[in-house]
Amino acid sequence: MTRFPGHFKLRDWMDDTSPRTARYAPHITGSIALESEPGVPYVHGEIDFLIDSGSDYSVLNPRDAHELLGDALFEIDFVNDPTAVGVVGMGQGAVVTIEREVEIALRDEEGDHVVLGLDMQIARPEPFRVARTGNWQLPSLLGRDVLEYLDLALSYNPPSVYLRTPGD
Amino acid sequence: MTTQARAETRLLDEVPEAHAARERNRRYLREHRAEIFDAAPPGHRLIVVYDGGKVCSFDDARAHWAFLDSLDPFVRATAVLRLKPSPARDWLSPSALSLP
Repeated sequence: MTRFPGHFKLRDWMDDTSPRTARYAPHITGSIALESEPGVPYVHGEIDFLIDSGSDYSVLNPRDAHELLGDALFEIDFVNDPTAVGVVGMGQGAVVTIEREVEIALRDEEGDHVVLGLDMQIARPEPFRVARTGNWQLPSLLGRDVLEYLDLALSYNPPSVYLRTPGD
Repeated sequence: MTTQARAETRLLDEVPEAHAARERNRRYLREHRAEIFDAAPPGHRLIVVYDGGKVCSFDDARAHWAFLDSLDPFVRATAVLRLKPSPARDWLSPSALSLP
């Protein structure tokens, strides 16, 4: 079995009254490569993904998208892009996402990579400028589209987070 | 993946020919994306493009990993793994857009 270690990270994107322990959420660091627009050479970066079994799709949220794409993020036509859809359930209200082909590389315990290609949702920034409010506070999500491929092993006591190849 | 297979894969990762072979598989996937996705039986979301344009699809992650392990080390190291978009996305209609 191959295991990809993750980590717990204190959720810092929302004021809430949850017990402190519950605000530690499982994350995994992955290298991502994506085209800023179809056919444009890939940009690369490392992202801390929240492992989110409640999300149908993996989503690149604005803070990470802007780190990767810079201001090219604001040149994406979130209205007329043929892949644009409205999505609810991420933060408050509805948000528009578009789809881009990406490759995510996860590093296993021995330092080897598995590279997985998928279509990822990129969320329209709300507000539509660099900010620390709205969905700029949200982490990027590794959703069930990836969890369909790798098992999640999670324990809070003692703390451990792993994605792993399915097996015993 | 066995320890030996892992070591072989790691070595191949350093070889320029391996990068070129992986890029060929990537290109094949890019150029034939629609037909590859269409050809995958319903439920088969795990797709492997390998050996310059051979394609296999799986509905089971264990079988998918076992298949990768069964490949020749060079072929395995240069294979491209792809998740086919879920049909569930069809539920999300562009008509749901409600931008100000």
